[in-house]
Amino acid sequence: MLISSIITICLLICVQSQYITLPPLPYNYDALEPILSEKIMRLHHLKHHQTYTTKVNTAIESIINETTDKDLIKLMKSDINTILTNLNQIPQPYRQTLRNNGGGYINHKLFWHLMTKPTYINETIIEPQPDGILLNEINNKFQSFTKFKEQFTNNAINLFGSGWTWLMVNVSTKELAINSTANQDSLIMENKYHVPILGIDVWEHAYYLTYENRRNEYVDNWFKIINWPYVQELYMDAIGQHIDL
Amino acid sequence: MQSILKLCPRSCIPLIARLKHTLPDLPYDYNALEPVISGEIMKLHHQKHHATYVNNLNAAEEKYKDAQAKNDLSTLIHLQPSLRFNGGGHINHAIFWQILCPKQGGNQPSGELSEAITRDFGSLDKMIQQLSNASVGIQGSGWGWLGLNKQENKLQIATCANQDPLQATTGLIPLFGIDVWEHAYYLQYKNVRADYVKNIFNIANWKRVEENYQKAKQN
Repeated sequence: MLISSIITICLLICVQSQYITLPPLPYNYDALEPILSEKIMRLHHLKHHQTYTTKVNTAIESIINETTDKDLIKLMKSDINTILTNLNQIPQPYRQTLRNNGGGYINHKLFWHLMTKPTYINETIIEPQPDGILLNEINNKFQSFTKFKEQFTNNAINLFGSGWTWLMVNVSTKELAINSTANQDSLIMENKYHVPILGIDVWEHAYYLTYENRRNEYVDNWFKIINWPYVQELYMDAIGQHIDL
Repeated sequence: MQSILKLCPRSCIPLIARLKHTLPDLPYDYNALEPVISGEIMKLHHQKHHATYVNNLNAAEEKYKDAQAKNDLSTLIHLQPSLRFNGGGHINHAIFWQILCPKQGGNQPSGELSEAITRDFGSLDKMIQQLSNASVGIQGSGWGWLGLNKQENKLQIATCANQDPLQATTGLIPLFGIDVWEHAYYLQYKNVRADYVKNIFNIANWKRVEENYQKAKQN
């Protein structure tokens, strides 16, 4: 009886502190070779993404333990997106911690799904492209896929320091736009109607082991592993979304 | 250069005097900072990253001077970020190479610098702890600095984002700095920035930091 109580309490403690968990990659660590090496993917997922996850859990746990504010506790027990669109309700220094690490968590969680193993024709990797409704929209907005790729690439190369370049949908207007965020900021932090459907991590850790300082080469190669069907799903969800008035 | 200037007609002087920034040499071999910072990192850091800041700074300054000549205020403003990134990158790295030295040539702070560190932080260890914590804690890319607050005659620790140069951004005069952009350590230390920051104090050129301190106090 005593032992089972102790075990139950221990399990509760373990379960309680896992507000978010590190999602698995949707493929093996070597799946994105030769564009992104297994070494990069392992470090990126098991070290960087894991660290963001751990720090979010620690921060949430600390906030809950240190406050008597019922609304704040309720917010801390919500999903991570709700927390990140209500950062102004969170006291410092936890606000900055959750901004950095919560952003890192959701950015990377999305990122893994935006990529897929490269496709070969006669031993050459072919660059995949979107089609259907998304391609029509890209052509409307950017005149062609080539021009979209050029703009996206310029944004990614010229982003100074660490950050992300995004293709997003503004769900209020249903329009596509290229945008960037610094560090691990996510689009929804500045505007909850800005939904990312494609994004590239341009922190140096994302590419340095293979590409060194050659970020342009990384971005160019990254276009060969974009998972356009997934991006299209995100796009369809985004344009079907209702705005809560 | 001076004798060439004397031979030229006055109208040529502004063009020639527009000297370009150049990549300074390292005061040691690329491998000299091993095992703390690998030769591979030093080569990339100097020949690629620092060189790119220098080249981009020169290009931005060229465009800036053209825009000034045409009174093109819009372009002048548009160029500000590039001058800040690349100018800051050049300033920061030029300082960085000098405040590091091979382990064998290592030294400890002494004299007035040592006294100032004890006065403002309690001890060298406490200063190192504070600077380390600040540097490891920088989100994204940036630099951790030990600087002189001239108005208050106090040493202070500060951090700057990206390549923002310390003096232009905060007014503090840079004495010792740590580059915590991932390119400064990733090939060797991977995600463990804390180990890199801990180890860098083994190759700090405190003699040079003392010289920086003396110059800062005089200017």
